[in-house]
Amino acid sequence: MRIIKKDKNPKNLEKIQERQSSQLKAEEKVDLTLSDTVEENLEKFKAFLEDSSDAVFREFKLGSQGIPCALIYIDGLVNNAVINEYILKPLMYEITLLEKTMDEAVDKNNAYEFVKESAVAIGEIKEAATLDRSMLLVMSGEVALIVEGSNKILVLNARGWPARGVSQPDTEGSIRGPKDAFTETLRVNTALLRRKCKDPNMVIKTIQLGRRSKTDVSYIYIKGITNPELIKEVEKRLNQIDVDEIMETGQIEQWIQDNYLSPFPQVQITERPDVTMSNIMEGRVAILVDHSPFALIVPSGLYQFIQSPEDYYDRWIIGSFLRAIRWVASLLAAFVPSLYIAVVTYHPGFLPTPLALAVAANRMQIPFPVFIEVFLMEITIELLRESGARLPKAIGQTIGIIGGIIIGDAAIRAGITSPSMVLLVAITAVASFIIPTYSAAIALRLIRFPLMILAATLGLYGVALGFILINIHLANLKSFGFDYMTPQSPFVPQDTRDWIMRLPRHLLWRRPISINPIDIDRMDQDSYKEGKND
Amino acid sequence: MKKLKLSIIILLISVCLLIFTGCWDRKDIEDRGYVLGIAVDSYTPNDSQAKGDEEKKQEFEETQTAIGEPLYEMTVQLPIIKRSPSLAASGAGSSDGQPKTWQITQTGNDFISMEREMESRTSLTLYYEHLQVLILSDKVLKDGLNNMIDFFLRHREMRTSVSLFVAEGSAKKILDVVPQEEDHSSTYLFELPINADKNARIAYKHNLGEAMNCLRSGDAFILPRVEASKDEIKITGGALIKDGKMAGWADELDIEVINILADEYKGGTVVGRLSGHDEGIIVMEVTDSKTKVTPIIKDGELSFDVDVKVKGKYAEQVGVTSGGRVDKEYIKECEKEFARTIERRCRITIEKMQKEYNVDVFQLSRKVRTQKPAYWEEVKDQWDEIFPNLDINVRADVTIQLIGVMK
Repeated sequence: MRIIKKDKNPKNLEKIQERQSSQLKAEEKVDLTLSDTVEENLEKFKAFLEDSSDAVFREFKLGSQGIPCALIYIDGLVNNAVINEYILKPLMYEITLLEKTMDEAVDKNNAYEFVKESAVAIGEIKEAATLDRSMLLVMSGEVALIVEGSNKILVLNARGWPARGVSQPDTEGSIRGPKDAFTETLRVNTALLRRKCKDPNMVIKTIQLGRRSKTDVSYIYIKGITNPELIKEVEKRLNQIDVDEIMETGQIEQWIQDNYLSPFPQVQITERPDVTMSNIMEGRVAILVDHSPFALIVPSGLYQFIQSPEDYYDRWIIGSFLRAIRWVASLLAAFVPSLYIAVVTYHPGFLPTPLALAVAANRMQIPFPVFIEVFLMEITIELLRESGARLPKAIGQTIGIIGGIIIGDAAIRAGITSPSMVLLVAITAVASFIIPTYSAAIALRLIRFPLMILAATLGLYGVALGFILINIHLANLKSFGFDYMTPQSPFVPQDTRDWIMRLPRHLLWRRPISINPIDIDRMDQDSYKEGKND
Repeated sequence: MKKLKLSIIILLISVCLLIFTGCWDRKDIEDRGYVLGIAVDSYTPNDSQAKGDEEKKQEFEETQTAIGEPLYEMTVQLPIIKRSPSLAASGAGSSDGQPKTWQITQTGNDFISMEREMESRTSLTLYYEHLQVLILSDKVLKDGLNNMIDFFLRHREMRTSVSLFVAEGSAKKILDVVPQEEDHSSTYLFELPINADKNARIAYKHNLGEAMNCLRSGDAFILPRVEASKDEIKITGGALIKDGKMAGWADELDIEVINILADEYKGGTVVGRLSGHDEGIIVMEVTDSKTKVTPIIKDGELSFDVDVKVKGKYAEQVGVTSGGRVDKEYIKECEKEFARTIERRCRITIEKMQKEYNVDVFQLSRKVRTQKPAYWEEVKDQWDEIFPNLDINVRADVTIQLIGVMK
């Protein structure tokens, strides 16, 4: 459906240069092939990086014969101690000792090989034969070593940049379970996942997206569990992305989602490695993006947004109870205001008489119709929520107090709203915060506004209509080609064991078959015996 | 394609919005007048010398809605809803002493006109979904329930669960009661029969729906009768309704028997008197009861077997000479005495209904109709002749389950 440009995703400088060639003067054009002299190669790098103050060009002489060499790196992205200790020191000083013991002088012809094999004390080194390849590595924080007499460049991994450590999840707190969350560094994130699963079949594939930003994007799956069709689909959708920059997983999500008009998230977002890992284990694919502490999980169904990792860590009765509460909360968050409007403006006969009279008494002298009152209060709570999210933590609490106590109380005293209304708005807000996934909670908060309009114009009939419309939409929605509402629609009885209820662990011996994993069984059904001591 | 689909959906929704507009009954909750109770009296010309404001009010009430002498007088009770004082900005004192309800009276021949006439006197729209009680004066009932009940059955907002009561004399007076605990006399009255499981002399609830059923099927039934003082309402017996007209009053003891035969005997006490070597008054509290009424046709003659199985607690003894004697024999004796009492009481009332009033208030006709349909076809036109001479055998079986705490 999406229009794909033929010329997509240029992976090297050449194409960018071609694009710009009309603007460039002849002498500015750089030949991307490398020569075998340090001076020329350095010039080529300098053509791009000369104006950047963080680019470091370090020229030095190697060995007794003084072979010219140069290091190129971006200051700030590299670990200076590593460069000094394990690159420059061996090359400038220790190599002469080596020459002595070997009784052989390093000359231009064998310098490159010698440096690569015997001199630098760096674990990960790569060879780059073109300028664009080495340039990309330099820009990602590696060190390019140019040695006279070779038309290849040695690229040494000495990455080291300021990064936030692994900390607790901000948006997906849990009482039980691991407390680590993803950070902004892709490699740290993949390491967090590797630590959870030692299966060598877990594949972490990395591609670079973004014409200019060249952001590393990894997708992770387990060979032998995940359906190859799904992997192909993920690869296809990721490779379609042709943008200048990828800053966050959110951008990827918006590119690969199935329906951009739906308020419902079709890709699960999590900052928890344990959630990510268990989803990978179920046969899903996780997508990680460098610079983003969030993982995308595809495909995902509606029921996943109601789940919290604790459902699985706690015993099943507790887990099922909590999950049931969340289902109720999600319905409350979406429907309470509209039901209130419908009942209060059209069907006060629904209420028990004392309640009807009490609500009427509460609403006496309030100048607005019910719909306007509800709308005002819902907007107010959204304002409070948004301002609370944007403010620094210390002030955020103040906003909570101002909003919750002062505005609520003052609004009642000023005769703008009724106490029952404040209670209702509070219930809605609390219910929407119960939902573990932020994006799903936002979706529910959004759909309650159209529902409120339906309720105000059509009463309960309108709410029912809205409910039906939402269900039609959800049943229609797909996530990576898989039905969004499974196991409910289409009904997959096997998957209902882990749906509204979370049945005991030993009954969940099957992976969710609605996403077609190759390997269905995840445990030996017979291995569970009650009363192990017998 | 997709755009087309979307535009079709939007079109459909907007068409639906236009066609199925629900806005016609849109009214905010505080703009409705919650009619909690309605009293219907028959119209009596008011010859009192009202002056000034009273006269004006009387003029309002007697606004003519149709040509001719009005037949009925309808009073609706609206709660006076005030913003609760704790919320009022001024923090004014409690509203004690101020009336909590507003009774609007209107005379007329048909109720819909009376209702619409009332709308010209209130800023609220009268709303009947919370209607709890409908009180009819005995005069109205003597004229015929069938004549006037149609409005209440036909009205969209009136529920079939509205409780019906009968007042001797003025029904309006019942609504004027200012109850001690509840805010509104209607809710007070509505809640009264709740104690039917403590006191079997409260007629089991008769609501609009049941009354409608009985009227349609032609069965006789009973409506609870209420009497009021300034701040109290009491359920005292009931009105016997036959063929849609009131046929007489039943007293509280009759109500108890009617409840027993209707299998609505949910509580109450049975008082027996011991004779012989033990003397004194013994009281049983009924906890559970099951009544089975079986029509029997023998040699073309209809008779009824009434089996009453009562379970209860030995609740109290007054002046019993043997003191605290509790053994199997004694309990057996008491059980027998209680059963005798129940049977005796039933006989008295049954005879009263058969001979004095000739009202089949036990709805035995219904039993015959459902269980002996062939026989019913033969006798349905002569039921009035058959009922007074029916043989109704009441057999009570009492089991005392608990004897209470003996200190």
